[in-house]
Amino acid sequence: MQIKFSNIIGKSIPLFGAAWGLRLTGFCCILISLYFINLSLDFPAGGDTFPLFATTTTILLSLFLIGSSFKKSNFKETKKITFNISYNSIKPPLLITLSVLYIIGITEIGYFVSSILFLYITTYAVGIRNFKAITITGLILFPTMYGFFVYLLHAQLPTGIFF
Amino acid sequence: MLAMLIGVMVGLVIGAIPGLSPPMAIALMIPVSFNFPPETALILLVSCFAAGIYGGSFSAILLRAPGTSASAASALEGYEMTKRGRAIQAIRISTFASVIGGLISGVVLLLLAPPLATISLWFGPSEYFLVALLGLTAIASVAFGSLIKGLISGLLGLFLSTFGIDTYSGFPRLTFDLVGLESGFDIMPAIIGLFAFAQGLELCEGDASGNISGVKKLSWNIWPKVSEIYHVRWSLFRGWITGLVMGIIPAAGGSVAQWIAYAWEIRRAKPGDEFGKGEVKGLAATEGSNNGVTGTSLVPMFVLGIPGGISAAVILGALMIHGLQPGMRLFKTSPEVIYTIMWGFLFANVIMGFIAIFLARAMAYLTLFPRGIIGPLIMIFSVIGTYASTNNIYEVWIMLGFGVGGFYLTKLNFVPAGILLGIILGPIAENGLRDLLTVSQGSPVSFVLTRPISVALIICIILAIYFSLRPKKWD
Repeated sequence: MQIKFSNIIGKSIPLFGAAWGLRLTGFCCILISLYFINLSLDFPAGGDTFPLFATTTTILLSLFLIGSSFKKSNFKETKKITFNISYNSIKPPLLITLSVLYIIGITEIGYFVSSILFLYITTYAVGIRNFKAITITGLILFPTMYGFFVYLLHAQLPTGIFF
Repeated sequence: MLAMLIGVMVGLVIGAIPGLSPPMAIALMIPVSFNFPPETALILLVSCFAAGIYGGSFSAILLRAPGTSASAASALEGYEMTKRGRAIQAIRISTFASVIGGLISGVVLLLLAPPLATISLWFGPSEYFLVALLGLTAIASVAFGSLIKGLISGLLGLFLSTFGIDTYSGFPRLTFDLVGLESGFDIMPAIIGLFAFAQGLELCEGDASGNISGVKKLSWNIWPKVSEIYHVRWSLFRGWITGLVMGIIPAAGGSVAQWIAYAWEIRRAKPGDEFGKGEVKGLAATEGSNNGVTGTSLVPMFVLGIPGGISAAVILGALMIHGLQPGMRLFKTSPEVIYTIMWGFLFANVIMGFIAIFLARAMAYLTLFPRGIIGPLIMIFSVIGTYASTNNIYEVWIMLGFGVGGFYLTKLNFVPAGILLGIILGPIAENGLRDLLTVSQGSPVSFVLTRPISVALIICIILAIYFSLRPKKWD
């Protein structure tokens, strides 16, 4: 059967049951813990006690988590982990990417320009079209923040090409 | 009076901004304090301290972006109340709990400072370790939904607290040869990331055109009602007691007290209580405890010269800069100075209440803004606040890491509060345990059993575990 991309946008595609989601989570926790146990084994002077305690206990609890997934009363048969291809589902990764660019931007371009761009782009991305309110907010907030941090608190704000 | 007003205003504003902490506010006020005589200067600083702790609750309640580590627990119930259109009620209860908590703590400081200071000397490695364990039992209570995932979250926090150079051996642990990781994970970027930044992302999800509170108009009733205070009277009492006791213990402070008070409240919950969904009793307890700490945390500092926390350490520095040597001698040689400061602390709490309640009403309007504007603004504040407080872009990346991790782990029903609790208590527990193993010469159990406070703490831990694990009377 041929799957058309346009047919799946905005729809929830069932992947697996909630029980399998729990097992996958537990399995990932165990793998991560094992990796860190390997890194923590050689710390001197008792420095390994706490990291090893935290990781081994996590493994034990993850096994409990996996075990609890086999208890049928914990799950409703209808509950499924779904994969949703919609704008709403990509919004968080998009905002995180914009945040990464913003952090780079404040050190490379500067606080004012980056903050104004970030505010415009993110509010647009989440569906706010009231540009008058956004502009007023930016015009009042960013100079106030700058004055508060730099002149009152004597804290440094990042500077780039611009200020 | 002017010094008090300046201290309270600066403390409230700085405390409310995620990333800027009360110690920073106090440190910033030290140069200003040079313009005043010693007692007035110290009143300015202690006012700043008390108001800073309370200021952190504004942003915690209204935006789920705690301004200080001592107000993180208030974000859990406080923000849920805001989401249900009860922001003003949350602010009312928070103000009452904080002001009265600060006043009680101030009275205890004024009347009982010397005898209480000797209690703080009884705390050794075993007690620190056990206090941290008692705090960790709170994880079981804050894990709404899945106890196992809550415990894993706490362990993740404990594990993250071990990153950085081991203070005992000087050996770098889990630093991956990154210089920035050598000092480990600071609490402030973790709080901002896990709560504020993650909250910014959450607000932008779905339809972002609506506001946080879901109401179009705010209530103007800012004065606490007798009936609502009566309803939470025992929660307030437990919160204040927890704060007073935890304040005396050096290094514990409001960050630990609020979680213990919150867990205590959950364990005593009754049918009909809605913890995790905006239960006012939970908020009353956390707010009572974090301001109940403020006065008593100054006890060891004034009487013994031992700062109970970072804020007390900065005040201690200021005390010495102004030519006052802390200790019992100070009570004998300059009683007028020390008692003026204590009275100043008491009055500062009253002034704080009046200013805060009007300031909070103005701030509550933030909850009427569209989520799609507030969300990105919180993200900007998280980035700029972290950078301004640390002056290090590396900490901003760490904050982002915690924010993204916190956002997705919440989706998987893990508990950001548990991670934070682990990070706060991890170093206290680890250092306590390692000191205990050294002083007990390898026999920690027999050593612990000879110390009355340790035995009392063990009983508290057993009771806490029992009450956490028994079937809950509420949903």
